Amino acid sequence: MKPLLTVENLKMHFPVKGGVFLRPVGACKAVDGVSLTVAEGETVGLVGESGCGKSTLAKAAARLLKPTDGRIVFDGHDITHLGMGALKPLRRELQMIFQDPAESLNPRHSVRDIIEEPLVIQKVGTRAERRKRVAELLERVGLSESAGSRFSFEFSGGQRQRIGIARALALNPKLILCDEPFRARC
Amino acid sequence: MSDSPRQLLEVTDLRAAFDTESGELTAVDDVDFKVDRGRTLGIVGESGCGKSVSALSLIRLLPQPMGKVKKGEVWFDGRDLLRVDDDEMHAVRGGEIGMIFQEPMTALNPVHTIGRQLTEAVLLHQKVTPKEALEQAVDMLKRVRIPAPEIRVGEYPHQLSGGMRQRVMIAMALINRPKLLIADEPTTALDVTVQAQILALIEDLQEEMGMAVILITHDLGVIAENCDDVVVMYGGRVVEWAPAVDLFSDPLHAYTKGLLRSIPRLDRERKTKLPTIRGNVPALDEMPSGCRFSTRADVEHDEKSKNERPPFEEVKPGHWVEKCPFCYQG
Amino acid sequence: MELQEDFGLAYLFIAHDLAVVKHVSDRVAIMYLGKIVEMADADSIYENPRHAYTKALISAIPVADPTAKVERELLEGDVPSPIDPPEGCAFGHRMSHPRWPESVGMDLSLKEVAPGHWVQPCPCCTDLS
Repeated sequence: MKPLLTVENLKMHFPVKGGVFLRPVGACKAVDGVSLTVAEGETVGLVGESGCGKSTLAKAAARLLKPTDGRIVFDGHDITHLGMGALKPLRRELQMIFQDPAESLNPRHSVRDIIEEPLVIQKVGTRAERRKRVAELLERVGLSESAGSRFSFEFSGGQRQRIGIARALALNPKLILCDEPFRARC
Repeated sequence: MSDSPRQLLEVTDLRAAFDTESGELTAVDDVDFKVDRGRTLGIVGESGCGKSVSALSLIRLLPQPMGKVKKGEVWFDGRDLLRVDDDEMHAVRGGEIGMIFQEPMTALNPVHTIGRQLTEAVLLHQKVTPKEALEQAVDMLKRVRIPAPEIRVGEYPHQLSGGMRQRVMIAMALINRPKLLIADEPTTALDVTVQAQILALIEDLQEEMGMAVILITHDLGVIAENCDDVVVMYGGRVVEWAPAVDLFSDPLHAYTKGLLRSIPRLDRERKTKLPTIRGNVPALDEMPSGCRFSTRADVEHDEKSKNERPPFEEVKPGHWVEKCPFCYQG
Repeated sequence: MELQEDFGLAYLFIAHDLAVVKHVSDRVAIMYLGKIVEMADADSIYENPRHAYTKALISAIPVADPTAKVERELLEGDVPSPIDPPEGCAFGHRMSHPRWPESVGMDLSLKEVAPGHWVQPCPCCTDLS
């Protein structure tokens, strides 16, 4: 199988500041030399206690954080040092679903707007086409079309999780990073 | 009200509601259960099923001013907690009834040291000197296996890890040797290894102190390992109530069966479709007035069962179930 | 949620519930204090875990059978801090394993002990046989 995501010897170190002058007094080695691959169509589970660095690793792999050291290759492109602008096309292909869907869903927007937003940002389709796509996505994650006009806070944790997944699927990504997607299931 | 010496808590016809913009929503709808001394009752169900609201109702801690207990009785050790005065309720809470919640930071005061919070809890409920209270605090931290408790009493909650804070919460809940401990998702925010430690700790202390426990969780594995009896809630009602062994070996309600089938197991074939209960829990204002599970059950319900509440009956000794003709599968 | 049905899509699932992870994953990586300590296809990691931390995680999963007699070794201590982590094998350090000192200064990069089954080769936590 062709590797889609390759993480090589990734390090994420954060300085820990202390004392009166907040000088660096140590390093938080959240991720300390991790190598990992995810092939096309493959599902890899990453397990560990909270604080083991697994969420930091995912954020770095999605290039929401800048790695201290190491290399990240996505779909043949080295993305380790890309800036925000150069990363934009990548955002279509690599989506992230966060641990707490309540925090990542804007409470002032309807569910339809939330799911449509990535399509708007990436300028995909006409308004009517986007709306049709949102309806398909709602159905795909098991929510009724009427759910689209409601607000995310009206839903249970498990349902908000589905809204987050629908949003992540909107742009037909190649890779989805899910941070504790099942915690809110029950 | 009969009060056998074995029985510690009896909840009957408990109804709790919230005032919202769209009117009054009933979150707990005529719920009954009992807990015997020294035993563990598990309450299980999906989020929004009323399990936490039931627990908060019986200790009169519903969020104010929206939450209200509408009716029912909560007999605890000889008196109805819904009818005692506020002073007595304060004495019961944190005294005879200890509580642990999911997120310890909400229950611990960030500006006071661990030691001060524990000693204040002791002084509120026992006639002892501050020195004796501090000794009890250190002793209790030792019992919940906090290393170097003499040093920890001088620290603040934010200085502790999640697992350590949860132990401090348990120490707070147990310091006055309660007769009943209410633990609402006490380990949900923790990792499996720490979860196992905390649950083993609660069980050890329970044995040592002879207290009863109400354990609220969505995790059926936790229920199976830790509870004597189980209440299954759905849409604010109890659909099944039985000894744990009977519930797992012979579930009688379609909802309980669905929950048991959907447990991910290590011995299950990988990447097969995990059976799930179809659909979602309806919002409280969209709940059918009859069988609440009728909108998700595999078996199509008739109009009568959708609209008339099914009777809750004891079908085998100690095994109660809501006898909807379409969901009761005896 | 039947996400796997989405043909061709790849996933990296980050979770703490091993039973759920096993159910959805082709391969599983176990991470402890900033490092991967074991990585293998999902069946081998659950049927033949090599690292002591993986074994501890698996044994801590509650068993949904009230008649089962569950014997488990509880981990001592708490999750350690990633700030200035210990040298050598961090899990051996937490367990105060007598052979932990041997891991200090060792090359702990993952070794392939069976096809596709990688593990941190520390003398304290790993069964390399």
